[in-house]
Amino acid sequence: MKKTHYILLLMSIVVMFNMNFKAQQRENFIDSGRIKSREPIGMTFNKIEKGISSGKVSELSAYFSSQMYLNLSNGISGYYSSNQAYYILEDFFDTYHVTEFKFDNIQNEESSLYATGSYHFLFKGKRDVAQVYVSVRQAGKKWKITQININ
Amino acid sequence: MITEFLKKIKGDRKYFAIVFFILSLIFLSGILSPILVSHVKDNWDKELTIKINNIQSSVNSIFNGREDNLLLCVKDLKVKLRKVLNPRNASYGALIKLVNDEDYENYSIEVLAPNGKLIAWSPMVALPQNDILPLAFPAGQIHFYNSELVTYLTVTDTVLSDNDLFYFVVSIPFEKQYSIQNPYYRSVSFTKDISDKFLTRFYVDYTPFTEMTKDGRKYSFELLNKQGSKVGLVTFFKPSLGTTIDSLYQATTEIQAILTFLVYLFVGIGFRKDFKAIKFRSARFLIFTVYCTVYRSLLYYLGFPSSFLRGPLVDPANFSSTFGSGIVRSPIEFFITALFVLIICIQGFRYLLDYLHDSASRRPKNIFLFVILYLLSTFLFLLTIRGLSASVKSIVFDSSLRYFKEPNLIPNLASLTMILNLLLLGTAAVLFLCGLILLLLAYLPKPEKKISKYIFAGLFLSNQIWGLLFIEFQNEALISPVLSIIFISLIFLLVYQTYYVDLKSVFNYIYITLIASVISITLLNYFNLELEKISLRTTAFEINRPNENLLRFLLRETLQNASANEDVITNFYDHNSNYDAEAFKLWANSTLQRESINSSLSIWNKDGYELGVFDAGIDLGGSLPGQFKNYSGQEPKIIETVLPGDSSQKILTGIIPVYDREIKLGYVTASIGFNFQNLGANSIPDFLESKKNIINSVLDIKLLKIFKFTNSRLTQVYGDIYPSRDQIKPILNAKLSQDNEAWLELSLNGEDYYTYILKTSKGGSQEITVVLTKEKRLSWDLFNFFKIFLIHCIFIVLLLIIFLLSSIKKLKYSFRSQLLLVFLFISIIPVIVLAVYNRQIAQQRSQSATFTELNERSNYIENNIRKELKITGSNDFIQTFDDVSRELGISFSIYEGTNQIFNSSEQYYKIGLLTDKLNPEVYYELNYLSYREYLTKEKIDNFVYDAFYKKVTIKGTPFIICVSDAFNKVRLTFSVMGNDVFLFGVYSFATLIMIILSAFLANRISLPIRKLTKATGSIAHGDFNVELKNNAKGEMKDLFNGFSSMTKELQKNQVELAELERENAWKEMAKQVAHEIKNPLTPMKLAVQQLIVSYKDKNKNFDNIFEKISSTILSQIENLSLIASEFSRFARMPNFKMERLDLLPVINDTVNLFVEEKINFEVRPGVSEVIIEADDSQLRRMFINLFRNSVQAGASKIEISIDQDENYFTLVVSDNGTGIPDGIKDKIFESNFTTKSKGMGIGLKLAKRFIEGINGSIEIISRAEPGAAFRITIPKYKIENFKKS
Repeated sequence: MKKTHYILLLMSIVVMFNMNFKAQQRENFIDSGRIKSREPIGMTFNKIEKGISSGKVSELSAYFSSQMYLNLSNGISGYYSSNQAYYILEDFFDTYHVTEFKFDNIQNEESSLYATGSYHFLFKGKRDVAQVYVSVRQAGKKWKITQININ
Repeated sequence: MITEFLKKIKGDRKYFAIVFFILSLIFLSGILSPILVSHVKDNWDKELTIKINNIQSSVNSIFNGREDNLLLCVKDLKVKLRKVLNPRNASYGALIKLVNDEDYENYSIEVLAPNGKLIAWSPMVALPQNDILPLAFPAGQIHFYNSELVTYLTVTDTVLSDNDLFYFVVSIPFEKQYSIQNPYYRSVSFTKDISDKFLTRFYVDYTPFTEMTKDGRKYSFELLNKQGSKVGLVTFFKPSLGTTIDSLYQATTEIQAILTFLVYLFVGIGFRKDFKAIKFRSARFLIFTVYCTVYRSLLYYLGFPSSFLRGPLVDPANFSSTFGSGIVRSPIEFFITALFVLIICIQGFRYLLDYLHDSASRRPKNIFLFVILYLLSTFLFLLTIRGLSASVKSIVFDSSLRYFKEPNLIPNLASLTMILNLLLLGTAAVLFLCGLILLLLAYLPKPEKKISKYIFAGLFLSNQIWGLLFIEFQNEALISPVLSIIFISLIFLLVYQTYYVDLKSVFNYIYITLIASVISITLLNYFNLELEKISLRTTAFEINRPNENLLRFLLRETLQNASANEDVITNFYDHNSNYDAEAFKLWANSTLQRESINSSLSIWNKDGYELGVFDAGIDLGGSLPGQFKNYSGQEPKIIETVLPGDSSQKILTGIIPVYDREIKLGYVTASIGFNFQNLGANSIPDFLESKKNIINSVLDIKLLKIFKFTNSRLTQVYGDIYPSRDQIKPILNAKLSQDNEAWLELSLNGEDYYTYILKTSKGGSQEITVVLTKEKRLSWDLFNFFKIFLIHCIFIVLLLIIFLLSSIKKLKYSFRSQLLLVFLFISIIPVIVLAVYNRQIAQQRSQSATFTELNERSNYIENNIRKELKITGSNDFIQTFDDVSRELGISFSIYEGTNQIFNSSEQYYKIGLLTDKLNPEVYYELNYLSYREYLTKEKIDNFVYDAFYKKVTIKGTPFIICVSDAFNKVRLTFSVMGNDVFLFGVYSFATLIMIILSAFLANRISLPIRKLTKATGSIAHGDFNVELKNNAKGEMKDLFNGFSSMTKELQKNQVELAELERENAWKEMAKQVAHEIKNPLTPMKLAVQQLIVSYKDKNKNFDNIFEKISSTILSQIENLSLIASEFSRFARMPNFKMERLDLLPVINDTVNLFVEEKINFEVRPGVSEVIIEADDSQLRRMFINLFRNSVQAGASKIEISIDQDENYFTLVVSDNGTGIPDGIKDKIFESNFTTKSKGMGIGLKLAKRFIEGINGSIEIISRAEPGAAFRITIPKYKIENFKKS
């Protein structure tokens, strides 16, 4: 092996060490810094509404907190990590296809931040509606969902 | 190189034909699918009719199947009842036993006497006695019976016994009208079963009076029993075209997925031979890795197996991570990914071991390369440990499975899968880590074992240091320094075992798996502790977070659902409805039950009178709050009130009117309260509690202690500990962090607690919330560790069995393994027997403790009843019982005869959740066998509890008091669970020690036998100089001595035989030579005689005669010369079996014969293979001789180096023994020359002869270091030479 090859190998090791230390400073990608500064709560709820109405979890996942409470009409009930919540909601939206959703009540007082709405869906050929409750809390510069009820 | 490689690839045509066939099937399915869809669209009406008919016939078939099962049970029971009820055999005990037989556990059986009296019944009673006769349906006909909460499939039949006609009713639950989110609940729902099966919504009416639906979107058909009578009506939503088409596409996709999976598999199999023919291991490994990676990705994108499976293995709630775009999104996906990773790691490890074992491996002496590799491997090493830690953390944090919360030994399927995943992942990581270190050792610049051990120690220390530094400089270190030290030590221990002890042993994989198990379980426990600590924090936050908006939402949702419920509307028209049961159904099916917080639900008529209520911790007292009177809104109205009788308890109450076609029928109200005292939902019985309350699901809330301080004063306490002033001081004086929190370890009442403290401000006052959990004892830690370790061991043993079965020919049932098995058998069996015995004793003690506790309570109740009756002078038993129950706060029930007349928890009986009929077993024991008291186990679904019954007589009236732990929390000082934890943990640890000791003893005892075996092998290879060193005593010493004598005798005999043979051979040879020589000598003599005569006779032709005779003599001399040459060649060359062979394996095998001699062999081949032409056995004998000489010269190290030039291989065999004195160096190759006290001195002579016989050479070489060195030169094998010979 030539000397230049050794030098290149050594440099790549140094680069890898550096990348690793930087990687450790990055948060979990669900909580990644896509949201850089605190956006208005109304905008947050708008995005959450859009995510639910499109049935796309990826639009909601940026707001998942590390532990959140889910209570869904398929029987899911309890505390789940953000990773779990991603796939639980994905499966839920796949089974209970949303036809229409809108928040009809948004409370954005400091002491209580939540929104409620009606989730219209199609399940086994039948149309039905469930009530939705989403609460958020402040976590640093970001808003994080603490609870989602769809029943 | 790549083009050459590609040219060589041929593949296996047979498999490619299969691949082609499957590809054409995929293509065909792609074409057929739209055609099929189009056909369905065009003929939808017909298709719909066919589908509807299919669904109808399938549902009928399912129903008929259940009907048949019930009728079979009835038939079987009838035969048995006929015998039991026969007056000649009549035994009440036998009747009770029959009706309560385990075979009928899932059935409700009631037997009535000819006079209609209920004489025997099972624990589950479906029909009240009054509803049995007169029969609703003819005897023997199946029909439905609708109780308050459950619909039963039932049949009444008769049995004639000696002219007496007995009735018996057999029922089985068919549909539960309620569902509870709870681990004890057993779901029974025909509607759900058929809805899930046919993927459409079903509604089933279990009465024969319902009319067919007129809704065009639905279809109805009648459910008929065997006799053709209508028993119910099934309605379902007609399949839609969209759903059908989706199903078709889904089916096509699934079929194509399976076919694609098969294509890839067969492609791999088809190229298997070409793969095996690849020379370079690294290339083979790379190709294998790429193949596996693509395979795994393909499986994921095809949705295999997630799309094909249902249940807990694909439920992301059990485990889910977004890592790798979802390749670990559920337990089964994790399993597949981990399995692939493990297979790649095992293959890589195997290749690495082959590389190390193969002494022809290139080991360039380049320190610079070694340093580069060292840095790279250290980096990867630390990164892998971090990666493993992160993965195990994810297993804990991204899963709702709690591995250490419940002390159960048998995990459910999801937990078992995740435990297996943990083992797979751990093993892959450990293999990779060991591989990194081994690879580094393979590239040591100076691979001499002594120096390499020092380098190994250096690597170990440096990795430890790097590991600690790595932890220090991380933002968020995943493991502690202690764990890092332990893990790195274990890895290096494994590497030592593999590299220095036994490279090729199969047991290395077992050791690796065991160490992987230990590491992964330690990590699991570590992160679980972290999670438990975080849960204390979560609990504190939840208590402090205002919850009112959520509670209002829950109320609103519950009330809206209630008002739209068709059953509620219907029941308002039926004045005989059990409204309490309706209230319970609404509550059970709502979020109120799932949230497990204090709540209640009531149904009111339009005048505001309460019709029914279900109270789960909130009792409104039966009157509608004034704010709700005459409320007519369409939406729920919610107000904040206080609990009647306790104004400090705030509750939220909501109301909604129920309308039918704009006519108000009544109201439904619901109340909800968040009460610090009832955090663990203590007011809801365990069989109804969801166990997923809003606070947390990691720790059992009932095991927590929570204190609340306001302005440094203790204001609220949850749990059974009230801290003293001294105990409070450390809490109040705790040093808080920037986030106003602190972690402490406190000691309360002699027990240690982990404590979390959170300080908050509320309305100007300082509040401190303290959450404590008991620190686990060592027995718990042992239990937690071994409960998962045991499962891992079971998997490892299964794997070992599979491996042994597949390589059964290679199986060696050695003496050592026999000894090990015997030791294990002798030691573990008594441990298991002892553990089982101890457990039984513990269970008996627990049973006895429960009996005592419940007996004491029943005595307490009885005494209080008597006292109350005496004081009040009343004869109203029911009122007295009620007063005593409230006063004592104990829940109990009273029976008079076989019927319950009082129950503290009356509502559960009123709604029909529990039966008010006396347990038949108890009835028999107390009334027929005249026992005074009886303890039994009873069940509500899967919830098992103890119930104590006692006969009493109060004011001349016989009653039976029943006290159970279904509604009362019975706290025993001695717990079976605690005993189980202790037994399992400690005995497992003891078993592990025994296994280690047994292995050690088996090894030690079998060592002399193994030495003997090795020595026998050496003798078989011709090495008679083998010596057995032993410190054995007794018979072993005699055996060793006998063996040594036998060896010496054999050697002596062999030498003598060789001498004799040699002598005979020489004699024969001499005879032959003499004979051969005589032949030409005779004509020579005659020729000379003739010449002399001619000369003397002065013959005229003397010149001619001279010439002729000269010619004759010369030719005979030629003959003589030829004879001499032949003889010489023959003498030089023994009868060798020449063949083409590789010298390296011969050297390695010979080295192995000296394993027991404790000689350090170093083979340094400078070439990849040493192909020569020689006799294999002679070659081996030569090396044995050389090595034996070195050993006898006191050498501890023998080095063999091999070099080559164009035509020859040069071996140098050197040792560090006493060496050969200069004076005798030229004599050592002579016959019969030896410096040893024993020996014939022909070893080196034979070696020289042999080497020269194959056109090589052997010589001593001088060198500066002590010891002897031989240079052996052997010609290279050349094919033309081989063909010539």
